Amino acid sequence: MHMRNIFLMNLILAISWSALQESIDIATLTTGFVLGFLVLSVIYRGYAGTILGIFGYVLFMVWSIVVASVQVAGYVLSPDPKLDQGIVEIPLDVRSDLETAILASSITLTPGTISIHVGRNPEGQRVLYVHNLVMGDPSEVRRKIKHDFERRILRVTRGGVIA
Amino acid sequence: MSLLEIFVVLLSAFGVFFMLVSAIGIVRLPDVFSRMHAGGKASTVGISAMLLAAGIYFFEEFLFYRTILLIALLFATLPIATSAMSRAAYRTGPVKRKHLNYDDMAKDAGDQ
Repeated sequence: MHMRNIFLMNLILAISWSALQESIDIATLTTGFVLGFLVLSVIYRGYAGTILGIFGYVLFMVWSIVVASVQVAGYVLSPDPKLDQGIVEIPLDVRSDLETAILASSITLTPGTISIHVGRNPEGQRVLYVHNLVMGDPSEVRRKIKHDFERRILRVTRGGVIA
Repeated sequence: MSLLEIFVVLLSAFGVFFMLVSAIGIVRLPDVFSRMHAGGKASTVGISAMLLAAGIYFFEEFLFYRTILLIALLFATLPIATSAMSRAAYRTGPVKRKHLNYDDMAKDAGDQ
């Protein structure tokens, strides 16, 4: 079954739990959701991994936003900001619109990088253009973004379709 | 002061600090793109830290969830504005690119 349907079923289970408990508040709904999550992750292999992957991705984003903000604050406040700006192309492995949008938004949210455009490079490959405040080595930038962001997104979305 | 109050004070100080950095950055940095970094990012962190601090200080179940929802919506919409404005800036003039040391986008093969 598709991951989205399993998630909907989890929501329905949470609402049923709340109906049987005869109370609708966040605590009851959360309890119902967690219980439904446990049951469904036993039934459908991969469901637990996907939901925990999304949760982990959010935590990872919060962490990297905080770390990178401190770095950018350092550049802004330093007496002589040494910027080394540049636009790097990142060849994309993500395919769907949703994956691309999440990747581009995550990159823009992380301070120090802005995704500017999705296009094709002269070789006809689908690429994302990322502007860096302090760049360094372009291939290092590519490796970092592919490893940090794209790999995590793909782990959640590609692990998505199960029997 | 209780421990919670100290935490709230620290969190809002953190938020205000980043708003200040954002403002300073817009004045100090040299060109459109770097100002975009200062204006769009530091303020995301600043606003969310301040919202979170407010949600914890005036703790009340639904108020707190509303601040979380606000932060989520902020995170979903702010990067789109930043990206759109940066692309517009890139497309509208070579003068603004003089601070770029490296540019892969110059050889972009056009829209797909």
